[in-house]
Amino acid sequence: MRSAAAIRKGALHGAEDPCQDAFGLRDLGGGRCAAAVSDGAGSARLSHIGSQLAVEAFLDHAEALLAAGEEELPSLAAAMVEDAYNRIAAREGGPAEHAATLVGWVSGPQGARCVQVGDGGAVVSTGQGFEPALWPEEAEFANSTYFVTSDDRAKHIQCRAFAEAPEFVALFTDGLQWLVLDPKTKTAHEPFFRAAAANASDSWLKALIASEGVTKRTDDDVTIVVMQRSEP
Amino acid sequence: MPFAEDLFLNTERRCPVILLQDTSSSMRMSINQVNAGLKDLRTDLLADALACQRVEIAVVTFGPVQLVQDFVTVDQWIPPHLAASGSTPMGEAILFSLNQLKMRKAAYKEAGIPYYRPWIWLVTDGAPTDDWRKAVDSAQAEIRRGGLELFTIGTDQADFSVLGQISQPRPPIRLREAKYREMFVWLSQSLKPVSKAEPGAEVKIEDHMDWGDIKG
Repeated sequence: MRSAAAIRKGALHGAEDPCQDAFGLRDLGGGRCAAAVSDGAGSARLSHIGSQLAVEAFLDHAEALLAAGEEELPSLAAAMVEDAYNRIAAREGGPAEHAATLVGWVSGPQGARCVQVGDGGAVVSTGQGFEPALWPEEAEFANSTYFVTSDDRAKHIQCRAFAEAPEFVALFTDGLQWLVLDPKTKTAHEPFFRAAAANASDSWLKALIASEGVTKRTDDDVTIVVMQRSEP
Repeated sequence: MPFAEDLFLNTERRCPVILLQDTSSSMRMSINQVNAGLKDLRTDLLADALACQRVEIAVVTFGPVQLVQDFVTVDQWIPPHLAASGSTPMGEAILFSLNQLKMRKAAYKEAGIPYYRPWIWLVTDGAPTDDWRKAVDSAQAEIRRGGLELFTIGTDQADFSVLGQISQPRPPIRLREAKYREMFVWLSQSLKPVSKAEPGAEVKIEDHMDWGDIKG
């Protein structure tokens, strides 16, 4: 797998504030690869740490999630989220101060698994085009969502198993989601993902999320991770 | 590196705001400041490219209760010229506004437009002249479920006990001497971050602002 990633602190934050998004990539060997992105809540003081811990928890569970059959996946996804919660809850400040979402992906020769809590998204190639793997779960309002740290987190875990791993996947946080997902049709915005599939490199993604097309549409932190099967 | 504009969607998002303005006859002396303040609100929001496409303003006056301006984004909004007359049917005005918000949210849902928590900005210089208790119950139910940001602002003559019951847990704000223009600029400044906020962002009011003080 080839992978590329970029992360950018939104204009909403002051110079001394941390970027609250986090992402991680892990090569699991044997053609297996995992990635995760997380968005720390704007109002939570330590959410930049919460988002890192959520990403790490997913990456630590990725191998087990990939090995799980489709029926087992929900319970293993719940165990992963519970582990993320426990890692966060053990820290000074507690869960609420660390509020963070999670979108995780793992793929290999045996297929792919996607797990999501809250907003942000994952888009995969289908052969004909691109489609959302799951759909960001927002609460009623555009500035409210669910977190791995929420009391009712278990009710907000989405997961999906793919028997065959798609050629391409992009994970992104909510700063990008309504620029690349159409809420009216619940579809992926094809031009964006075609360009990402054709060009993805760290430097291209970095320039992309710093471009005016993004910055004039969002003040939020923006993170994107792209994984593609290597050219033969 | 140039990136084509069509790489990105222009997904609309809305933050509905109702300016619920007392225009009873006792407002006669200060209605011009209110009108100037509405213009300031528009000018200040227009300076923010994202906010002026996301904040939608509706203007409801009382009394009588009237929808002077239905929801419109700030870049399309022409502030009305309000005149003062009549009584202060605040209860009816609040119920009317809650219903307007309900209809607006239904329209957003129908159109697939994500929206932020709505605001009601209630400004009065007196006490309700109608039965306001049902309005308190309805507003409070909506506030408790996290569905509404309700602010109450009163002049010295306002009934702050009633305003406090309507907006609790947020306390009412006592407007300093006719500082309507400063008040509307503050509203604009507060709407800007909210209209692009990340999950969980909160509206914070301070004990003392240049236009008013919390009436605790």
